Amino acid sequence: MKGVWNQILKIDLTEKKAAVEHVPDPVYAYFLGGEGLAAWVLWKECPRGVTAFDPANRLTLAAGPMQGIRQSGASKWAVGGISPSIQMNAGSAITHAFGVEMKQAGIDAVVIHGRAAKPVYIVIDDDRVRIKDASRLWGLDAYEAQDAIQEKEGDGFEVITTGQAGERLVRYANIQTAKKSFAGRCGFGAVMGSKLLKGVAVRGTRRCPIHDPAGNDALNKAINRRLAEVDASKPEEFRISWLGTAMATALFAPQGNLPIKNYRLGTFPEGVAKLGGRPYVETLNAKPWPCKYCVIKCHNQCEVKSGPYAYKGKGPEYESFAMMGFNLLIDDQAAVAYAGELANRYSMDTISLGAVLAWAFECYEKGVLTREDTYGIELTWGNAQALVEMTRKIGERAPGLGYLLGEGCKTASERIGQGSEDWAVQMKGQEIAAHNWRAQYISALNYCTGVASGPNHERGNSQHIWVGHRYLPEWGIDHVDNEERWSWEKAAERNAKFHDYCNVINSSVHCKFQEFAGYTLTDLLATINTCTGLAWTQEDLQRCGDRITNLQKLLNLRYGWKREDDFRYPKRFMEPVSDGVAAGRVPVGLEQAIVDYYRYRGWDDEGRPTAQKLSELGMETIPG
Amino acid sequence: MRILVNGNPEEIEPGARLRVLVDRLEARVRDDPMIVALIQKTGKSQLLYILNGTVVRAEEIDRIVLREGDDLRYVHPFFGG
Repeated sequence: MKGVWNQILKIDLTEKKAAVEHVPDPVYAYFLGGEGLAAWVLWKECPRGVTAFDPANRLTLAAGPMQGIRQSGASKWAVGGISPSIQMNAGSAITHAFGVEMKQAGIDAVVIHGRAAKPVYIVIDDDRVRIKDASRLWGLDAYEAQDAIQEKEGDGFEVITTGQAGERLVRYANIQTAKKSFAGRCGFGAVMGSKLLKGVAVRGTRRCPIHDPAGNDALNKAINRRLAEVDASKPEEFRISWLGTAMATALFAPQGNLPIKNYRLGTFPEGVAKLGGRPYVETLNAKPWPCKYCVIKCHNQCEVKSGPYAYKGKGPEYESFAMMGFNLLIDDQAAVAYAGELANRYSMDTISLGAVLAWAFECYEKGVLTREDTYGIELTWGNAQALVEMTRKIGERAPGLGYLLGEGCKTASERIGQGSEDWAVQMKGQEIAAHNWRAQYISALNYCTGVASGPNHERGNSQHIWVGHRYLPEWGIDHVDNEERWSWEKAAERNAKFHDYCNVINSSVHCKFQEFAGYTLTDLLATINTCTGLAWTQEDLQRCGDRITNLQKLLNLRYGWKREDDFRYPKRFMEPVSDGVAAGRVPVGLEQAIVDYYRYRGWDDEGRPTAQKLSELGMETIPG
Repeated sequence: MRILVNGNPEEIEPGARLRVLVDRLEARVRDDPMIVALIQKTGKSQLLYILNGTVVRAEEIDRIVLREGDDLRYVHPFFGG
């Protein structure tokens, strides 16, 4: 098969050894690459009983058939392994150029296992692999560590690092690259920390042969031109290149989709006025900061020039505004941006961080936590300084509450008790992202049944049917009426298709955000075919997504998933809000919808793939 | 005649202009809260149309005559994580 190297680089940090291993074609034909390949690595190498911080956990950094082509969105790549937050297999997508360099180094993935005797970083320079001392980097934040590695290794390397939160095993610690992109969810920064791995640098000079270079080149040019034209045709305030994901706060507010005051309110007009939108560009001086080959340019670099929150760096995304602003009733844009960048430097996922803090703020409101617990910080709703100070405490894992909150709100609420489990907005140990179940019931179904990364808004982004009017017409999901937000009819089918869709995107690997500038499944299929020569149809592509989902489910079962886990959803979403368009709505009927989802997938009522289903997918045995 | 809208066949009068189809599509979404908010704010739904791979400028919608087999996609202005 073209478009892949048929080889992965395996690094054992315990033994300080590296070796290249052959991967046969059928593995790619089944699981493509990226997150599919990372799941396959776990299936092959990581038996039942292995946990996230076990040296036997495989941290996989994986490219797919698309890395190396000059298409907007094709600089995405994937991280996979056993997650410290959900204690199961998971994946997380990240972008910029590390994946492209890794592919140019002649490998489809780097698989890291073992644990170093002292802090290290890895340097991959085409065929040459070195494991280097990182003792002097330990304790640096993620950006400082990146600077140190790049200065030491010289030009041309792309680098990933984790900051102090990763070193200190915060269960939602992330991995960053280029000071702007993050494998944010599922805690893979802590997996790096557990292996005493501070960073990886990669540089490559080879171009992976693809099936139809001329056809691919023409396709890339047409797609890139169209995506840029679509964005340029929009009014300024709706251009991705102008606002990035910060645009979403204003569009989600009238739909009741925002998380407000730990999901207790339906509206927050001050937040809508001040967080995101035009103030994002004017107050934060946001300027586009594109990834390699990207024409839509959603990342922004921001600068607050003066005041207590002065900084220059990564601009907050929608999820950061939502979880650290709206969810805490904080409308100070500069403070949210500053706290977000602080979290980035420590390497903490801003979604989980915002949810954990909202849980703590509610504990404080209800007297479950007091000033004695909070280092004297007033955890009152709207207190921007508390957000900043508590971000530091958690990043540093300060003894007491700072440490506890680094375990996530599931563990924190179990330790603190006093009914606080009821307002811990998490499932399976992972905090829920900024899409409100009351605004579209399918979000509830997605979070409950997700197998790729536990409850995750980007491993089944079915919320976009309504909140973004994103459809999959090639797979039978086209215009859907607004009222269907609150219906379970067809929810199982739609949810399953979006799970499979996310899997083919995250395994090809491509950036889902291109779809908001008109990227289609037709584009995706044509690109995969020109890269690989697979000559797939849309049915083949869908089947590939279905295979990856089933492999992930088999891994869930291996690592201890139980049916009841899907039904232990946050109680908060069954309490209605009294304002906004979703007032009075709660996803009643969710339990039956979960069972309907199992049945739609061809799983038994216990949520397990049946032998017949696996046979239909040719998965009686897993290739390789 | 039959054309493709988001990859799905849709029947339309032979010789119809794009405006006819645009009005039909916009009618489908006019009760959506996001579209309602956009119309209130900007006076338009902000839907964007791509005909046979080319972005259609607003002033062209009334002029373009559809042909059998045309491929129309529409994109909402939304973006978000």
